Formats: sequence, structure tokens, C-alpha cells
Amino acid sequence: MKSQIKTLFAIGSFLWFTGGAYGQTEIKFWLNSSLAANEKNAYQKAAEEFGQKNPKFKVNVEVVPGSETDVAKLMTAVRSGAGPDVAVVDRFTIAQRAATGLLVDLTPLMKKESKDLSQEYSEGPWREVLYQNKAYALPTNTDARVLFYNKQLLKEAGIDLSEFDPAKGPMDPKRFQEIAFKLNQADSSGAYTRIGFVPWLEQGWGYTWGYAFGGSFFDFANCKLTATDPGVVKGYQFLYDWAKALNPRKARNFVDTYWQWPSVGTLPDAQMPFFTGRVAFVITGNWIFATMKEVAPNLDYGVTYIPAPNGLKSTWSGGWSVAILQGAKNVEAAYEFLRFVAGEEGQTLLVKKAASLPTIKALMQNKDLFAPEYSFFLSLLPVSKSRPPLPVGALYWDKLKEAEEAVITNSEMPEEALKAVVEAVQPQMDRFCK
Amino acid sequence: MTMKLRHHRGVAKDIRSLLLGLLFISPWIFGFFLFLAYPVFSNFHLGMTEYSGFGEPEWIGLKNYQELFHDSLFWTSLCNTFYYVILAVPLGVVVAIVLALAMNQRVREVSTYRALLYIPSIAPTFALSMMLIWILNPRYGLFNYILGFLHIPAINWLGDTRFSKLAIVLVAQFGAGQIALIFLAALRAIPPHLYDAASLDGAGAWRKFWYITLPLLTPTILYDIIIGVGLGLQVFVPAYIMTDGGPLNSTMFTALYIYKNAFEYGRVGFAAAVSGLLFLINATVAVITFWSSRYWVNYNLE
Amino acid sequence: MSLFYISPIYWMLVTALKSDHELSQFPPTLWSHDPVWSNFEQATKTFPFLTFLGNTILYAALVMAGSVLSNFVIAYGFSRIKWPGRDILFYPVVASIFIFIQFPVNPITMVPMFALFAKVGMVNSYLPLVVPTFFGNPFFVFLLRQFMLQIPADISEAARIDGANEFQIMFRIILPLARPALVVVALFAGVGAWNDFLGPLIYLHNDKLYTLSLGLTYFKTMHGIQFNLLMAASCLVVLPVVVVFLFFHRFFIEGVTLGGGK
Repeated sequence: MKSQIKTLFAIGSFLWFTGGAYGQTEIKFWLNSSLAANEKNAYQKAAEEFGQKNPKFKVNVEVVPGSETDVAKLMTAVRSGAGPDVAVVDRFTIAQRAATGLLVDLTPLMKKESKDLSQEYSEGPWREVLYQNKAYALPTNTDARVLFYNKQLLKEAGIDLSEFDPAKGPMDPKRFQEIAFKLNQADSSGAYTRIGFVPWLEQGWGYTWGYAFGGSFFDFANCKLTATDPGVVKGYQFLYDWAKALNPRKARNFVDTYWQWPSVGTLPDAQMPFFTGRVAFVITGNWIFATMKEVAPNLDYGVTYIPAPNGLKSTWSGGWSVAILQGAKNVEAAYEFLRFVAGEEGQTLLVKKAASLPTIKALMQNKDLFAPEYSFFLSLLPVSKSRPPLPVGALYWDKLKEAEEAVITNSEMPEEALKAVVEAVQPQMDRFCK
Repeated sequence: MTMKLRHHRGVAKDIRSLLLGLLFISPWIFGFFLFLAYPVFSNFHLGMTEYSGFGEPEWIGLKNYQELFHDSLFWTSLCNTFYYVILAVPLGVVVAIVLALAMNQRVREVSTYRALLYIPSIAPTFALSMMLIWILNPRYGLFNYILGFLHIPAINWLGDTRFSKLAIVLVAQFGAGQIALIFLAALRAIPPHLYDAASLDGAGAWRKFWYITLPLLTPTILYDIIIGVGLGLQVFVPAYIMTDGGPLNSTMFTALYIYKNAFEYGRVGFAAAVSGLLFLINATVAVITFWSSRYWVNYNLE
Repeated sequence: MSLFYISPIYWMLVTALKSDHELSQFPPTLWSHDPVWSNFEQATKTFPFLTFLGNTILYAALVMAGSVLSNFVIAYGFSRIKWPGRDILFYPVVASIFIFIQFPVNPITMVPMFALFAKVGMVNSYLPLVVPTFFGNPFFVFLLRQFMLQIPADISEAARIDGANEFQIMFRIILPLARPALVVVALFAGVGAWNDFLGPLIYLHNDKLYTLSLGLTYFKTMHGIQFNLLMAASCLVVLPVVVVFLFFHRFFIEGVTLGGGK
């Protein structure tokens, strides 16, 4: 009988599980499952080190299903009071999460500090953590997108590699197309087995090409989405023309075969088309160094600017940030942890383990921290743009992706596809315009 | 007088049996109000607010419904959902019956054999979906490999708007094992003497299936249709995992649209409005199904 | 046709045994040349397999208990006793199968139900997923009612004459007779809980509480997926259900009756 009661009690307490405190202050820290494995490791290590340095705190790291824009778990957890104290959140969605009331305003905590944090972090990432001039997160890392090329494949095709020397600046898109198309290969049925360059693969989003063609995505002065800005339209036109030249259906089949586009992340790292030589060029970011070391250590590659007209040096940066969630049990403790993860110690771990770029200005000067291959990326940061941090950021991103899909399948012209984006998102944005 | 008394006694007995009956089904009555009536009412109520999930809902009247009416993506999601139901339900019935007939074969290790056919239905959705992305790969996938023998050119199942919904329908068929078991039970319940009599009359296997088996399976078919339509109108997980609504919103189903608005864009009020409409559609379809069933379901086993 | 149908399972098993190197071959190999059995061990280390297994067993057991108990009593009320209005009240039961086909969480009611459970502080426990199963599910009520209608009324009548009350008849006489159908309900409910994805996704927010079906998402990251390990883990998830099925499979045949007696 006694044991039965015990069992019942155990089940009961299990059902009402809340997690107990054992003299230490516990900090519940959430990572989302779509973070790269190396990034997860770095955050986990940071949590451990923080615990070792501050024995009164214990950080419990949990990995939850989710992605950059899919924060369903975070939202439902916080709404029900079961949320974490601290979470890693994609920085470009901070404004949106702050607007819905998910995040704790850090400004009062920052004011207690002796130094002005906004001066410690570089400007771009810092702007992304602000909503209505208040900071809601601290940026942990950043990145930059560039054009990677496979030297061996280019040599085999008899292409002069010196054309891709970054010293010569970005290549003109027309010239680039001439070269890239030389690398296309097809089998007897006409299906591609190799495509020189697929502009929308990996990090070739609408933002990438919109910025490369000098476009802008938001007009802060008038609170208007500018997806129909001539530069953005030109960027999407570039995608449209490239897809047309490849044959949209064949290109799509190729991408779905070797990259399994429909759900990014269904491919093992080692099968990434750039590593397997299915594409000769790809647009991606510095984080790839971490995976390359593991799965394609012998790849002979080079990096250069993203092709753009008139020598425009363009790229954009994203990155993660750490934020305190509404309902956090101990905001002070959480803040201390935030400062550690987004501080020099945490960022150093991210650089070393996950090939990140830091957002702290002082760390960028630290030459010992970076292998030579980073210098090109670091040099780009001053000109790098970011996605406009908007309270409708996730929706805008989804809709721009939709427009991109319409354009690369040649089912809509860039102009109309982008007009539809503005029509769908602007009414949502208007609620936040004053 | 005696008549009246007896009548009274009858009423009292009726009331007693009524109370007894209600007592037994009381958990369901309670559940009906708490888990169906309440959320349905609440959907319409929340549907008239602007609510991010935090703070207090703000009353905005019918604005969400107005927006819905002009929201082309909502209509797309509805069309996709109906497309799915219309395709998946009949196919589901056929697959389940064929599977049940396969399970009904006399083989030696019958339980192992049935288990084998049943496993795809119990495989974790996430793993099965990941697996199927590979099986549907346009160049190296098993699907196209088999179609290749029939000289059908390779299809880009998940990447082509013409086939993506069909792919989700096909994927859902791997869950048919549950219902196949019910069909299997129904098959086993058919009295063998019916077949014996038909054999004496010289009927072949196909005629026996058509004139004996199928009519006697109609109650199960109705059951399957109810389940299939219910599941179809709520289809969510495979699209959520495999396509996230793409390509070009061709697999954006209404349930996924609700989920995205409620939990990704923080538009709980709007999502509730969509849920309310989905409920009305569900109710209408339920009524139509039951109304039509009296014309084709055969309840007489003997 | 059957071979085709079980192909994903074959593929699952083969993939589970591939080495990282073999996995990266394109086109994929059709069988594993050098099976790596340690993938199973590796998979259980990538995510807290035993914790999740325990959680899933607990979740499934509670759902099974709730489903069997509540649906048996409700279906009894709809089949074994005569009372005015019984058959009319059964219509809404059948009609609501449409809504509750996904149980306990479905897209139609999830938004308000979540808000309600959040308000009473039950989120992040199994309660929102388990409590509803104690209030009947039309799908199971229907199954059980059809089965119990087949049991001759004389049996109950005889007991009544002997002075047994309704609860005694229900538990002592009908319960044993309805066992095959109850096993079916238990297994359907259990398998449903075992594979439930949406419910845990929305309600469980502590990785000590996760179930296996949700835990499998651990294998997917932004840049790639550990396919062999995911499939190894999936095999381990499927295995217990297969064992249970082999054990109870004959009940399926006896336990389901849909024809007649409507």
C-alpha cells in the first residue's frame, strides 16, 4: 500500500513538474533545434563556463524544436508561464518578438552598468536588437555572405582564376553568367548533373540580390516597405533571368535532387552540393568553415565578393542574440548570464567552435582570434547590411521568400510578385506606424 | 384510473432510466461542453479581437473576418485543403481495403506478416516524413525509380506545384494501417457460407468481392470516410515537416495557416477566426456525409 | 504492392546501419555494405533516449487508462441501458468524430484550449494531453458501442432479475465480454499518444518532459541532419509498439464490429 501511494505521488509530482531549486539559482536557457551543431556546442560550453565561474548559478540548457522564424514553442511556453529565462533568438526577429510582448526590456538593467553597452557592440547588430529605441537582446555573433568558388572545377573548365581575385572588386553579373554557365553539365536526358551557379541556393535569398543591385527594403522615415524599390526589383529580375536561362523546371529538379529544397536541413552536411562538386559557386557565409573542417577538409576553394553591377561591394549579415523572456524567474541572474554569453568569453567560444564573427568591436581587433580565411569576411562587415528589424520581420521574410519562389519558377514577374509582398505585409506594418 | 396510474409509473420509470443513462454518459457531456462547445464559442469570441497572445485582447469586431474574406492566402489554403480531402479520402479507402485484403492472406507467420504491413502506420511522423523526402527525391528516389519501369518520366514530387499536394496525399497513405485493421476485422466477420453459396453459383473472385465483400464493408467504409474527411480537413503535420506550405503555397493547408498565424506571427485573434470558419466547414461536411450515408450504407449483415 | 508499402521501413533500417561515409554517397546505396551497429548506441546518446522513452510510456499509459475507462462507461450508457433520447443524443457523438479525430490536440480547438490551459497553469505538464482523454472520445465511444450492442440483451436482463445493479452488471459481466474491443481502444489510444507530435509540440516545454516523437527533432539542425542516427533512433521508437502489436494482434480481429445494430 505504502509503495502504491509513493508511486502515485511520484506520478503526481511528475505531472506537475516544475523543476526544483537546490540552493543554486537556476537559469533555464533555450537553444532552438535549427542552430547548427557547432553553434549549439558553443552555447552549451558558454553555459558550462558561466556555471563554473559563478557557482551560485546553474544554467540548464535545453534544445527545443524550432527555427529562425518558427518560435511557436517559445511563444506557447512563455504565454503559459513555462518559458525559459534566456533564449537564443534570431536577431532580425527581435523587433517582432518585442512588439508581441515576448521579451524583457533590457534598458533599465543596462543603465545600472558603468559602461554604455551600445558603444561596445558594432552598430549593425546593435540596431537589430532595438525596438522603439529600447534594447531587447544582446547580439552574440554575426556573419557575412560571400561568393565561394571551387578552384578545381574552375581550373578543369579552363577558367582564369585571377578574375575572381577580390582585389578586382565584385564581378559584373553578365560576365559572371558567361563563366558560370560554362560549368553546367547535363546527362543524356537533359537533366542537370552540375550547375555552375544557382543564385538562390543556400544564402542567395532575395535580400542578397536586392542589396547587390543597390536596393533597400524599408523606408524608416515613412514607415513603408520598399520591396518594389527599383534595386530590389532588379535583384529579383536577375534571379528571374538566371532561372529562365537554366530552364526553371530543370533548375528546380536539380536543386530538389541535390539540395532537397522543400525542407532545408534534410541533407547531411557532407552532401551539401558545394562540397560534392554539384555546383561550382555558392553564396554562403563564414560559419561554413566549421562544417568544412569536418566533412570537406580537402576542398580547394576561394572566396570573393558577391557579383554586382558597377562594382558595388554588397553583403548582408544576420546572426543570433540572447534575450530574456517575459516571466523569467530571476531577471538579474538572467542578465548576468546574458552579459557572459554575449560578452567576450561567450563570443570567443562562438568564434572558435562555430566559425562565427564577433559583434564586440574590441574582439574584432584581436588578430590572434582569427585564422587568415576570416580577414575577407571581417573586411566586409563595415559595408554589410542587415534585414530591416521590423515588428513584422518574420512575415516579411516569409513573403519575400514566396516572391522569390514565384520568380525562380518564372510563374510571376518580379514587379508583380514584389507588389504582392507589399500588399500583404504593409497593412500589418501600419499597426506599428505612428 | 388504472390506465393513468400505469402511465405515471411509466413516466417515473422513464425518468429513472433517463437519469441513469445520463449518469453513464456524463463524462462525455462534460467533455462535450469543455472540449468542444467552449473552444468553438471561444474561437468566435477571440476571432473578434486583435490578440498577440500577450497582454489583453483588443476588441475589433468583425475586422478579422473582413480581412479573411480578402485574404487570398486563406482561400488558397481552403482550396488546398479541399483538394487534399477529395483526393486523399477515396484513395485512403482503396488503400486501406487493399491493405486489409493483403493482411487477410493465409500465410504462415500471420501475426508477423500483419505487423510488417502495420509498421509504416506507427512509424514516427517526423522520421517517416524525413524518409519520404528521400523516397520522393526527383532523381534518386524510390518512387521515380519504380515509375521509371513504367516509362513515366521523373517527377519532382515535392518541388512542383502540380504534384506537391499529391505527394502529401501519398505520404498520408502510409498511415492507412490503423484503418486497415478495422477493415480486416470486418472482412473476418463476413460469414463464410455467403462465399460458399456464391461459389456454388459459379461466381469468380472478383464477382464475390463486388457483390458480397464490398456491400458488407460499407459500414466500415462510412467510418473510414468520416475519419478520412476529419483528418483531411485538419491535415497539418506532414506539410509542417516536409514542405512548410511550399512550393508557392501549394501545400499551405488551413490548419497550417492557423498554426503559423497563432504561433509564428503572433496573430492569435486572426487564427481563432480561421479556426471558427474551419469548424463551420467541418460541421457542414459532417452533416452532408451523414445525410448521404443513408443512401449507400448497408447495415444488414444477414 | 505490399513490398512497396513497407519500403520506407526497409529504407529506415538500412539507413540506420550506414556509416557517415556511406550515407554521403549519391545516389544512395540500396543496402548497407558494412553495417554500423554502433549507430543505435550513438543515437541513444545524441538525445536522452531513456528519459524520453519513460515519458512516452507514461504518457501513452495514462492516455490508454483514460480512454479505456471513460469510453467504456460512456459506450455502456449508449448501448446497454435503454433510456429516452439515447439514440438522438448519439448523433452529436458521431458528428463530433469529425472534430476529435485528432485527439487531444486538433487545429480547430487548439487556439482557445491552449489559452485556457495556460490560464489555469497546466501547460508544461501532461495534464492538457491526458485530462481530455478521461472525458471520452467519440471515435472510441462509437467503436465500443457497436461492439457492446452485439452482446445479447438477455445477459444483462438475467442479471437484473438476479438483483444485480447496473454497475455490477457493467463491471462483472459486460467488461470481460467487451475485453477484445477495449484492447483495440487501448492500442489505438496508445499508438496515438506514442506518435503524437502536435500535442507535445505545443504543451511540453521542458526537455525532461519530451516524448520520443518530439525528441526526434534533435537530429535536425540548420545546416544538416544526422540521417543514420535519426533512423536508428526511429527504429528504437517503433520497436516497442511492434512488440505490443504482435502480442495483442488477434484482439483486433475480434474487437471491431461496425456492421449491424445501428
